[in-house]
Amino acid sequence: MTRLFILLALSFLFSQPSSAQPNGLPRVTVTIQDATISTFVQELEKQTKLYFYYDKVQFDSLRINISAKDATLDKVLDQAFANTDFRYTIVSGEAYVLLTKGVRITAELPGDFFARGSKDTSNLALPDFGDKKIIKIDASIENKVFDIGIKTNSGAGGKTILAGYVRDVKTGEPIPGVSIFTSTGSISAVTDQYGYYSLTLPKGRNILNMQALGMKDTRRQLIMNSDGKFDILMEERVVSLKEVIVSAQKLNNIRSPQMGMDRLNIKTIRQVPALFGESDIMRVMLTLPGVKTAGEASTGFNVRGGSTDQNLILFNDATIYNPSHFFGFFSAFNPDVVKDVELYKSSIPAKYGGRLSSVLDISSREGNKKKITGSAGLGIVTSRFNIEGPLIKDKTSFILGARATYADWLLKLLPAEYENSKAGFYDVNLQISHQFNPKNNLYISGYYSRDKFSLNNDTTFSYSNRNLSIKYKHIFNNKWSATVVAGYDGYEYQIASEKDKINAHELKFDIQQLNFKADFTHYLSNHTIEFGVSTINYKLNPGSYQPKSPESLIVPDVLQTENAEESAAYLSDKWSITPNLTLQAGIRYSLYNFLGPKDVNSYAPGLPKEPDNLLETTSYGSGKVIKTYHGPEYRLGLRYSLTESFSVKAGYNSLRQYIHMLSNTTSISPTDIWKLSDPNIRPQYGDQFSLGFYKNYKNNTIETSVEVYYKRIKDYLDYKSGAELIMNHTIETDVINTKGKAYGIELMVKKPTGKLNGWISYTYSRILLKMDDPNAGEIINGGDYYPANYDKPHDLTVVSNYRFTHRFSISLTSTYSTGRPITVPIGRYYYGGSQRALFADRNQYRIPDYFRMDLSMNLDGNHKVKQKTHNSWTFGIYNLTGRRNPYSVYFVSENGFINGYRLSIFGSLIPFVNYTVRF
Amino acid sequence: MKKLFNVFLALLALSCKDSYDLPVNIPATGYLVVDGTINSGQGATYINLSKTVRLVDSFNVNYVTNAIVTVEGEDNSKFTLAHKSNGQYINNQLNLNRAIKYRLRIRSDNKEYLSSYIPVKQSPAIDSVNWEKTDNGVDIYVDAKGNSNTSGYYRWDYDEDWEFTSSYAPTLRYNTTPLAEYIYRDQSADLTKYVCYQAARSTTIEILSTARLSRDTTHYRVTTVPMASWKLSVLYSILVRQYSISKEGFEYLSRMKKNTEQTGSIFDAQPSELKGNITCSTNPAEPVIGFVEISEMYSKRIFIKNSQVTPWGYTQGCTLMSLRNNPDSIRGAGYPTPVIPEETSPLTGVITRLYTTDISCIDCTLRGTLTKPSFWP
Repeated sequence: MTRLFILLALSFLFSQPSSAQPNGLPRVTVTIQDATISTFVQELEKQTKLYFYYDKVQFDSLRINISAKDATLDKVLDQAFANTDFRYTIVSGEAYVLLTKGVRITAELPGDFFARGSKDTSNLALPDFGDKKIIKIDASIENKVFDIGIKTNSGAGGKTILAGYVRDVKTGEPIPGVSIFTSTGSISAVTDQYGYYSLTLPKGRNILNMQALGMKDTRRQLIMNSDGKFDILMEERVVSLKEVIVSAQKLNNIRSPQMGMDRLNIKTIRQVPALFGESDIMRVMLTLPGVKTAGEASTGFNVRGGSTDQNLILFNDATIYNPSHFFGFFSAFNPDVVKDVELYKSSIPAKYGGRLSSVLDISSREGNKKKITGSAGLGIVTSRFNIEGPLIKDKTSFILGARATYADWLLKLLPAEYENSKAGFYDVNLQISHQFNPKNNLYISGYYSRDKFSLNNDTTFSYSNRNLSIKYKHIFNNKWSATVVAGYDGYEYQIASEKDKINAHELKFDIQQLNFKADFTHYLSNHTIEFGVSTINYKLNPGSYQPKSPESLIVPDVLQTENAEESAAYLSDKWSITPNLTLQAGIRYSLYNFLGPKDVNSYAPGLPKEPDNLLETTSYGSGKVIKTYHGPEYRLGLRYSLTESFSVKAGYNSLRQYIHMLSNTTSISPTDIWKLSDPNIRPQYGDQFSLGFYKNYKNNTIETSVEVYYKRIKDYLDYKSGAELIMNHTIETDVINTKGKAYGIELMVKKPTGKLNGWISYTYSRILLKMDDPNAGEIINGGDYYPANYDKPHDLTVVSNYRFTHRFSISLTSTYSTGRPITVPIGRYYYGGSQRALFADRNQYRIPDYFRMDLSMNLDGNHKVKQKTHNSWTFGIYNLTGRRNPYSVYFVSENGFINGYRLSIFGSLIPFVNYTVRF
Repeated sequence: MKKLFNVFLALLALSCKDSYDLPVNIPATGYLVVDGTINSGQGATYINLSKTVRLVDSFNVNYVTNAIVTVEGEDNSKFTLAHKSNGQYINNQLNLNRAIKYRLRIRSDNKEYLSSYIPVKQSPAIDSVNWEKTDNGVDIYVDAKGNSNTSGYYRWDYDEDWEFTSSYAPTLRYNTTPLAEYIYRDQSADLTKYVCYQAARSTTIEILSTARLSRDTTHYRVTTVPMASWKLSVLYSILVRQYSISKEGFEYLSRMKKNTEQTGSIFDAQPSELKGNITCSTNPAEPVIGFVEISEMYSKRIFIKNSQVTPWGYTQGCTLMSLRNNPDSIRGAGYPTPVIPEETSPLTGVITRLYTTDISCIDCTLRGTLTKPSFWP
């Protein structure tokens, strides 16, 4: 660089204005499109034998379009630099050409010209030229003015589109959820999960502000000439290592048309005290308003009155059917590989579908693109390990995470009769991301988990999730981008019993799906248009029951495989009508085909689906469409900002669900099976109206929100009393379609930053079901509305964190909720030689209220950057007050008397410790 | 599943169970409960009628004693069951036609209850009632083989009877005249309250489906006599009765069993509603509890001797207390029951010390009855 400037300086002595060049210049033939200066110069150097000197940085925003045939060099250069402030000087005697910016090289060259040109070179973040070696962002980058696009003579006015990636300066990983907004706040965007953004900016000078979870706020100054690409590097906020940062969107919660959406990043999740000290995504989700669970030993969750199967749980675009380990004591997601979690509970974007209540989108990190790093963690019951790093520096990175249990020492404490028992789980995550070039990215993600329990070599129970997805992201230009995903998701379980030879058996269930989807995004000045298609092919084996020993008398029984295809197309538009008014409107059309081969029962119309009313069984051949369901789903969101810090949002959405979980227990249990809609089981349909008010105080450091909703559910599956769900050949005779309604109000106050931070959320909500169709079989509670099993009207959660120093913080979480409904005995009677309980109507009474408080202390090792490893300790106590929260209440007739018992899963304080080392 | 989970919880030593008191605002019920099977084979038919009571009520069973109970055939045949005692209605021998269906009609308190028409089910005879000694006690099994005419759904109930003895046969008693506090010696042991009998009925619902088995063959454990139980201290007898039931009846009873005998772990289903085959025709909204079946009833009795199961390990837990034979000692000890002499004066033959015990150790009538069952060997 220095050499270049000496040459440049020397050259002034010989320079003459280009317009004064004599004839006899070399002639060139050049045809290039959208070329950078270096391509252009290379071509000219080849043809003219002249050397070109220029400062790359100055020309980085220039794109050259030229078509010239046998023209003189000056004509070509004139044409190339037309309408720009680039100038040239041909020093023919010396056989070189100087290219400059702003002024032609003359004696009047401004004094600061070189200084300005040399500054910030190392900090440039533009993709084509950006220096990848920088590890720290110089503050001066915020003062540099970047020129974007081709300068044209069309003058002021008009709009330009700016797009690019936001990445972590240290690891090169993209940062999703970065809020980018102009200084007036009227134009904003949020980076997607790949860190990609696109903004429509007016021509001329713009200041962009960037804010993100745990990252230092930064800004960039730009002069927009035409559409351009602009990558931004952000730096981690080291001082805030232990700060709860709940929302990236300090302003975003006010500005986004999205409502009922929560984003948590892994740092927040880590701070919330967790059972056994293992950070648990699902448990943190439960502290958010509108998210509830039936009890402690269940990771299934209920969103705004939805059942546990109405949540679409996506892990890197793969559907996870059982999100829990160890009967729900751990969630299926390894906290070390998770980047962030998004939960949509009211306005669900049109690109998602297939479940009624919510979408939980979990994405894993891409891995460090610069160097190999990793971490290892030790807990009481589990240990974790992850390693990440580049395969090809700055291009390809991987992250591999694994967890396993070592519960064997616990089993040793048991009496000798259990010495052959085993219990454990493991899971493995692998993600590889590859950047072909800034416009083409490929992501491969795999997940495998397995849980296994066996009791004295008698009954063995196991289940497993397996997922693989391949995703390709292509950016056509600033206005268009596309993502294509193909994947395989599977879930299975087995129960085997071999002790009793006569009865030895194995029961199996599995579901497999192949997915494909393509999503396109089109950015226009006031619109962001998204559209796409998706299809899922399901193959579900509802059950097989096989003898497990030669002596076994068990009759093999296999339920027929179910096949179906669910396809959808969607279109949505986010329209900024005015800076204060944004409309997000979407439509999704889903089409579901239940496919053969299958024998399908038909029942007498107008009569309950009972074995007695079976009319006939029809056999359908392979691939034959047996039944089609289809319909539109609408997604609407409207945001109006009354002031800078106060907005109102309203939304309506409708959804359809074609796959159902069958379970007549309250929580997700590992033996639950899934069922596809068929001619006898209609898809579920739900819609929701919601309204929200969002107000930020104290310079956006305190966020408050109030959301109300009303939801209707049609064809929600409930069960006839005493339904048999496993190995049932006529499952349709044991389920009933009910109607549901849910409504509630959710209040939240959040203080994301400061020494004391956290949030308080309160929810009042109801979910009521109704079964009043006598033709469907039995009427429940006389056809009146009855509360669903997980109806818990009041729910208050306080999550607080106090940071004493940068290395030490304490978190305290408290949660209170109404006890869930139960069916209690209202009387007793004598039958079969014993007193027995007479039960009241379904779900008319409640178990005692729930209260729990957890404490954790996070202690970090020192923060010196240079040391080889970084350690951290987490100590804590789960259920600090030792309250015996009943999980269930039940009644047993014992010695002729009916006794009520309450079962608490955690009857005491549970201390925990967890050690993590990062390298 | 449930077992696994419980072990898992035990592993973590976390879970706990507390008693739970019911809410107070529970309504009164008083629904009719019909318990019994119409016997289409040889032998009597018993139908027990009662009403549900509140959990807080002090009495156990609210018997219905004023009902009119009839079995009606589709051919208009009619059989009446007469009230005997405690809500039990009996007909000593019904003569039912296998080819037609029958229903039960109950009239009580100006209300009428009707069952649906029920087919007469055939039942296989009991092949054998057998037993096996395990570490936990003696398991009683019933074996049967169904055929193409039988439903494959079974219900059993049973009566247990057993003989037992007092721990001691006393040879001493208090001298009631003239001085109450002296002991006199009876030359022979008093055996009048030494051998007694006790009986029990099954208290659980024992049902089985063979629908999932390739053969309609049962080897079902109806009950277990726990190790060292007094039931097998001398001689034990069990009479097992077997009925065939319908699929619906099986489902009804298994739901009742689940609701009342098995609920309570994490993965158990919520209690479910019971809807039997009897309705109140005067007030269809009123629930009626019970599922009436018509089946041939077969029964079989076996005896098991203590000597067949030794070592059994039964003790009543009685001990002998040594006492000086004088009024002060006897009064001071609170008049314990005298058993046998300990020391006798060699000169006078007077008892100087004696062994005493608790009254329950010599009087078996406190735990049973002296009446020997008619079938006892």
